[in-house]
Amino acid sequence: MNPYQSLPVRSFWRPAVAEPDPLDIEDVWTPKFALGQDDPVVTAGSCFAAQIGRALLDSGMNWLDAEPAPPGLTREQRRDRGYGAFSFRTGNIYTPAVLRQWLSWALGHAQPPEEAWPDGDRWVDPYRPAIEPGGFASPDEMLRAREVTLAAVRTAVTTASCLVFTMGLTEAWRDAVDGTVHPTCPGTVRGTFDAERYTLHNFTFAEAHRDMTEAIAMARLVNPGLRILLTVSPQPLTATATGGHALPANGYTKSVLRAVAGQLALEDPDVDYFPSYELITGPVFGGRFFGPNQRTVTPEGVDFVMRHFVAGLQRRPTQPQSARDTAARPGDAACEDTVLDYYSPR
Amino acid sequence: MPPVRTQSLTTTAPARFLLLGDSHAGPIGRAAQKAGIPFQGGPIGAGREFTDSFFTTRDTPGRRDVVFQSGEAEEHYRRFLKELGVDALPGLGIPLVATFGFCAHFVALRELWDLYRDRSGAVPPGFLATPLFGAIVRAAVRDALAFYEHSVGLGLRVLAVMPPQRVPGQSDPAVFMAAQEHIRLAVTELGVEVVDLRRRTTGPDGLQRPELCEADDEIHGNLAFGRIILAELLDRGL
Repeated sequence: MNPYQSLPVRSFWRPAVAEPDPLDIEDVWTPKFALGQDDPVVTAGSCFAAQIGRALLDSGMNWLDAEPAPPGLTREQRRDRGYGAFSFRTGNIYTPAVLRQWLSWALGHAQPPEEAWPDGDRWVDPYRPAIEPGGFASPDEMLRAREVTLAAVRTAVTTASCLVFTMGLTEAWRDAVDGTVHPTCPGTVRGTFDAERYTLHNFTFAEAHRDMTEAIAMARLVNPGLRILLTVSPQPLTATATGGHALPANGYTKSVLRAVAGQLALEDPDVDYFPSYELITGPVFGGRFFGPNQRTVTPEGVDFVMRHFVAGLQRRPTQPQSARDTAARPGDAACEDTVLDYYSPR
Repeated sequence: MPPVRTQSLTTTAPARFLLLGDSHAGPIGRAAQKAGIPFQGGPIGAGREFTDSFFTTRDTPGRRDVVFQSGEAEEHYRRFLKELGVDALPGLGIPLVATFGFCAHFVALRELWDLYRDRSGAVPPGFLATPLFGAIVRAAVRDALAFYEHSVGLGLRVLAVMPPQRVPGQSDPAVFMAAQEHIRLAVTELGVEVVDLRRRTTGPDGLQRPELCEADDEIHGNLAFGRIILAELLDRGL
């Protein structure tokens, strides 16, 4: 008897991944902790995370919108102004560093810079440049709006049972003047690029791990019971500023983030990893969940991921299904993987 | 370390809507309370109370207010208005969200339709498509329709929320579905915005998904259902 003989079907690539219809793959995620239907869940992160909140809501979970839109806005206005995408109106948070930065501001560990970027006769928040497409009337108005968002971050973090954070990128732009990290390169979405001031930084595993660890620690200072569910956005990066090719640059980014999520989940019983990245990018899916640009995840892909998410949350404790005892196929003995496959159910 | 700023979302804000209805209004109100969404109102009676004549109107200095026949309903209603700082429905400056008239499970009580059953015991689909059936349903909820007509006539923005898709054992599922559709059309014709979330809340069988059902009964939606309705109301600008 070796350890592989008592493993369930889900542990073996061939019967669990290669052989089923990809849409029938199941039992992908076993949650480390229970999440009740009415437990408040907070979402933040990259573009892909923007689709999780509403999907959670529709599946009967309690997605917490800590910064609801003011009354009187149309659906389009709400979307354009950044309401309803995440639990607070920070806009996309692509990197662990920016999550740590928002939490440090919201929870009083640091003061955010008060600089506002001019945009014609309007003003833009450098740390959420896509919020308010029409800009703010004044720097004061911008700061007041940011205070509302910081209050919402505080409310969300202190009341949530679980924070779902989707990491998206390792490349970010650092500000030499105040040491902050920008969510996007200044001068792209808004603002003006200043090569003397803004420098590219491609976060390493150690840096991303440190930033996530610090972000979690800050959140738990005000909510010791907070559980963290990490995911990695399956959406490839739009562009890399490293000078390299976008394909390996994306490989670096996702590998680092995936490793950080895995490491944190190993280290902390109240940190879990949900494999949305694998459920979209896995080779068996053949890119079927990407749109024509080979980047955007289709609604079908989001539905597929959310079905697995909800199924995981609602599952009963898994009873391991013993592998069946079968004979090796001729010629397979040379490969260790094939030996492992020998113990898989057929 | 600088002190944590104390601004929060609990600052008193004006109510976004007035909620009036039967027991199906409960999950909506509970969801709004838990989400910290300012509103006034809630259930003011059971669904069957809002099929028969349940209100009258009376002159007010502005236009005609409604007066609920049930003392309890009227008491709730007046309290809600007082909290909103208005004397009567015509003075309401925020949208009205209601669930009146959508008690299709009550309209679909099996005993009410025995006269129309065929030999197999079913109410024939052909009958459910007749003008007679539509007329019976509209008559059954005529006072709810009158309430909506009056409210819209006051210039209010009125939203009516469709009920959870649950058919209790004493009701006929086919009659429930057909009656509900007639009610939806009738309410829509009056200029009311119908909040129809069936696509998001039902399974392949057209019935409420289990995770959105109140566990203790066979009629109501649960808090999760209320959250979905609330999100839709906010999406509509409330």
